[in-house]
Amino acid sequence: MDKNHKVIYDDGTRKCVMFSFDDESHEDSFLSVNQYLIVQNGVGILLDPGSVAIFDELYDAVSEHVEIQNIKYVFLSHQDPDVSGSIAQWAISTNAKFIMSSLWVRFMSHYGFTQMDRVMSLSDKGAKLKFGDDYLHFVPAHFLHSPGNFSLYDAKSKIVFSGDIGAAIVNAPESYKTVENFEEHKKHLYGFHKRYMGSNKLCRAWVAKIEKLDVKTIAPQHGFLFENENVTNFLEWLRELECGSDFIDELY
Amino acid sequence: MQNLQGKTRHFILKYQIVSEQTNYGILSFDDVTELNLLKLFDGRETLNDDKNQNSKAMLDLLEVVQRNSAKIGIHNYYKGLSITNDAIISDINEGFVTIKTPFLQQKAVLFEKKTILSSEAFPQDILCEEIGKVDFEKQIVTLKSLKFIKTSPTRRKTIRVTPGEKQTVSLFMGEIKFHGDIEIEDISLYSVRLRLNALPAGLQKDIPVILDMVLELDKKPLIIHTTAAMLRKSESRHSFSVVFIFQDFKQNDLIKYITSRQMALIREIKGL
Repeated sequence: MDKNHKVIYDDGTRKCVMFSFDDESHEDSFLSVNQYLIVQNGVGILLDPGSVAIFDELYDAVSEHVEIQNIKYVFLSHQDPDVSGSIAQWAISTNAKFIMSSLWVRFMSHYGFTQMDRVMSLSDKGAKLKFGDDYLHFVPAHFLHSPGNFSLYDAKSKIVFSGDIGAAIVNAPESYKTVENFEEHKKHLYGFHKRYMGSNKLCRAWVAKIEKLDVKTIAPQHGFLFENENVTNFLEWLRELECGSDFIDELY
Repeated sequence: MQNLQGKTRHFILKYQIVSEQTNYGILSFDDVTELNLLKLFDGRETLNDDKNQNSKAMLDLLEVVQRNSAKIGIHNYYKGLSITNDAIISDINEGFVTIKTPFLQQKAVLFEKKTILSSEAFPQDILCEEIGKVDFEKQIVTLKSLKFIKTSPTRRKTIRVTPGEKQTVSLFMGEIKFHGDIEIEDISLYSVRLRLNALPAGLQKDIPVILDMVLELDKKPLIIHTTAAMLRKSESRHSFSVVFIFQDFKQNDLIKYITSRQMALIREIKGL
């Protein structure tokens, strides 16, 4: 196993793996991207598999943890190319169902995907999916940043896969990093969240949802993991964050 | 014969002599449908009855779906590209069903001249073999000749597409090259269907063959060299169609090829 993938949870029955593959042809506008895989009993769910540019590498890396044909679901937190761009490739190489917001289903043909019967579309309030002995919760995260956006909470590992929430603009991930000094890390969070997230009201709505869950880790799609007390630190920071439409005068 | 509820039943006409009454008897109909004997007497009629009962059951189901404004799936294939959308039943009449579905699906229906309907409410998918009116303005399609089907392409586990125009394929059995006309009908990650003008001598299920295929990906040749085994063959008037399963082929290049081909087919159907 190389530096591009790391097991972040393993209790012997369920395993969560973090990958970090980036489109290296665009290093000048670099934003590190994380992809995730949850495996139980040989069955996998792939989260935010990313763009076409990383498909080959991710395919090979994922196949070290689960038979590609045993990927039962692919979850797309939102419609961006660094999340959903390879949907057609995964549709060809697996028999998986694709779970995404109902807002984005019709747009997927622009990525070359036309098998709408393979989509499990999520309504705004989200859903729960039985996976192994537990449930996966699709938690609404709308306008944070995408209008149709979901985080995924795995009740077994107690990880929130938060999509762009918690994303940090950091250098290329030479090694896997967990946030160690939250105060120091805040500067990497602020610029992205201020511009990409919808508003403080929306941040508070999401934080309120997450606080009801038993969370040990927040795993964003860009940047580093938040663990233990940094989960609370991040949620408190996000609750107070002014962003998006809170700065409407700066934008218009 | 139909009973009072309009259901087809199998009756036996019985004649019973009335004792001590010359020239008198009793005629009666006994309903023996449950004995399932009709096919012994009239096989063709049994088939017709089944068909009628299926059609009636199908229309009843479609009416339930329509009453509930439930969505159904509509499936078409454009050169292998699966085009699937939701549809709503807007009208059911004797012999035809009218559905409302998006523009791209209407185009796919028009191209394929048939379509498949699916729903959790249906015991099997429904094949519509005849397409009536396609109204792009009202987004409606009229479907005729509907029947339940036991096997359906919607259950295909792999995507298979027709290749682009630039393709060559060679088939070897051992060291011997097949010299007949040969072309790729469609290709998936796991198999290829070839059209041949003749069957090579000795072609059998368990005997491996070598396939050399050259396709085009991003304006460069994509060479696929693999051993394969015949899965099945079928014969039409002027050619044979043979499906081969790949045996030792790394799929990454084919994933790229099939994705690229899908994009090309999407552009093609949108341009129709």
